[in-house]
Amino acid sequence: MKPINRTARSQINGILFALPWILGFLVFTLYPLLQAFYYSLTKYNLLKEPKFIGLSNYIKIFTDDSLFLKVLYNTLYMVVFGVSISIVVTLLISLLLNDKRLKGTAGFRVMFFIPTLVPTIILCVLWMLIYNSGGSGGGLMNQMLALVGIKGPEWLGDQHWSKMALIIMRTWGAGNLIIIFLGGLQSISEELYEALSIDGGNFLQKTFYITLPMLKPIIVYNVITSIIVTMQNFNEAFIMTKGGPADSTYMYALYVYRNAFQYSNMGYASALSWIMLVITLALTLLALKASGWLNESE
Amino acid sequence: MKSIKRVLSIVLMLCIAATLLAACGKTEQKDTGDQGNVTPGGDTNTGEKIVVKYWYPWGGDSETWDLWRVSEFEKKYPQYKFECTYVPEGAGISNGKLAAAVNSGDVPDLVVIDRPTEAYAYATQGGFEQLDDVLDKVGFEWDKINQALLPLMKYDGKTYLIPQNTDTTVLFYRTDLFAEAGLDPNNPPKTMAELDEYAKILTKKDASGNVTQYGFIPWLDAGLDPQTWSWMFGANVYDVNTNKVSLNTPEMIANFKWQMGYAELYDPAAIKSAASSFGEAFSANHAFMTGKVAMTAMGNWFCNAIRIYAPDLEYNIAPLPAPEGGRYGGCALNSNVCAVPRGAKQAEGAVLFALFCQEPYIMDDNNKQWRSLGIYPDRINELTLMKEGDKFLPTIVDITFNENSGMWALTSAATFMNDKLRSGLEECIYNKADPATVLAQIEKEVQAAIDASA
Repeated sequence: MKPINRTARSQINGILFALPWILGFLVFTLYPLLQAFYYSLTKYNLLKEPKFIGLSNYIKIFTDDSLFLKVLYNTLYMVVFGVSISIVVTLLISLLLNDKRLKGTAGFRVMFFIPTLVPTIILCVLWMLIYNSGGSGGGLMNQMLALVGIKGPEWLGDQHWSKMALIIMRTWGAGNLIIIFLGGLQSISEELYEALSIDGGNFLQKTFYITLPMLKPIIVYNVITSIIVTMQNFNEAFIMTKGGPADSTYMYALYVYRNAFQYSNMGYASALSWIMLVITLALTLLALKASGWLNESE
Repeated sequence: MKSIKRVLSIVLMLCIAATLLAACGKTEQKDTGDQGNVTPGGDTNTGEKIVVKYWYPWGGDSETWDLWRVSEFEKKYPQYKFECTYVPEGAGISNGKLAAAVNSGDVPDLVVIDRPTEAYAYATQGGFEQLDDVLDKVGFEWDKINQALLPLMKYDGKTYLIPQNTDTTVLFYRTDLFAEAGLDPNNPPKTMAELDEYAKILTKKDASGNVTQYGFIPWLDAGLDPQTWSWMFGANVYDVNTNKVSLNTPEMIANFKWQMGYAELYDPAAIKSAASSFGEAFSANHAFMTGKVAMTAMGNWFCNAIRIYAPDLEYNIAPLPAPEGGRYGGCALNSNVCAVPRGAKQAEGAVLFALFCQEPYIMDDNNKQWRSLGIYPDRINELTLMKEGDKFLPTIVDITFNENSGMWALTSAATFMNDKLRSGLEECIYNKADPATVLAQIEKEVQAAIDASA
């Protein structure tokens, strides 16, 4: 028997180590993905055998679904404004927490990370109380705004503010982004800052000429993962608003869920899911393109 | 040594793969008894227990009561052993759990569902076993049940659902707040005009103009359910014979317009926001118990929540008001229904339990707890509360058997239609959309959904 050379052995070992993930991917990701595509071409209610109907589900979505554009708009609103706001806010907080001149930053890091440990259901109930405690003065949020003379809106009850209410809540719970940003910030060499200091650079120049360029891969990573998570946004709308008021928080994932499990239209829900996958992929590529990462890879 | 490690790692990987695949496969339900040997009398030819897997939709106080009922069944039929599981969202019909169970082969034998129209839709989609043979075998007394429940039980001439009870929706009103506002607590509103007038009188605001006490909110509690007010306005939204949906009708338009009137009385955004902090029905923080709402539409079972969480509350109940030409005195009936999911192994045990729920002492306790009535009208006068002259029960009995009571539209697209109506009403309330236009669009979409499911 011919002995296996070192490179081949190394490759076999690598594959063996990766095998659990490969199997998991094949069984729990690729197979459901392909199965969902097949279902998207069928009429299927989960109880009877799927019946092939070609592209009918896709045609209906694009031509005869009064809610499709609405839920897509709501979700893209969350992506555009929600991701932008949470990235900017968490980046600013990370810059502050990374500033060695400030004392007690370790405690603040823990404080900002704690919300990510809170289960979503508790987070939702907590923020429902923050937005409205049921008292005549409104919730904590509006009471605080009243202290500075601002009459707060009916956050979850007002269709013009409901999405922003969810964005604020998500930003509050985005401690994981801060941790990742901090990891990136701490990997930037001090020598770069020292060199700019010697050249007379100030805080803003350090930020724009060193910090942000060096942090770009981390920012791109956070943006892309945030886009993916936001496209799948379900819990808050399901628990806090049920998609209301007037469908203003009716998110795409909630629409998929209702079609699949509450209206027994698994075929239609699968078609919606595939459209969501394509949109998410397109947004991810757009983010990569905008960041210049694709060009760099070439 | 290295080859041993390699072999071991390959074996380990294969074990993991086998476990993953096995977890996805179908599992067969272990039968510890033989269904064919069971007789309704409770005898069995084997000494082994017959396991009945039971899914129920309630937690909290309702769960406690339901499990007591199960324990009573096991005492009477010792050959059965119930495996009870709390499965939210109508025992899994509204979140895919039941469909997943049916497809996996690991099916519960019995489910109790607290959403009758959704259960009916599930039956039309092929999710439940047909029960006529088992019902015949155990001697079901068809002619003695409340005939208003028959449409709910049968689809296409076959029986799929067995109601446990009938529940009504009534107007709960705070007698103390009535008296405080100078209204006669013995004269609750009967018409929409009276309801609107009372609502205005009972509404209180603070110095800043914020509402501290709502007289009445149409879309709170049972009012959130589209069937409640549509029924009271006299709407007939579905014709089972022609399979046609009729939502763009004068009754439905009047219903929407009436509810839009409350959007002008109160700020709907403020109501929506405040309602998110109103407590659940089974909590002392419910808006009716705390006095934030003086009148509300709710099921008769709410009497039990008040008994538990606000025993000293001064309140009464009355039939829901209705406009002229509406259905005053009646309501869209509700019921918890038993069903046997497709592929269940112990249909007979399940049906036995469903019928056991009508045993006089079980229904008497059901009535004492929840004010629910059984499916046999001739047993109502034997109820303890009836004999004791309960304050609320006569009203509930009158509504249940009123000619204006009946089942709301039983369609194959019940959840879709209800969601659409809720969403359409909000569109009218928030964006002042034209009810006729909105209802016409919903009618078209619901009709398409029903046609597609055929």
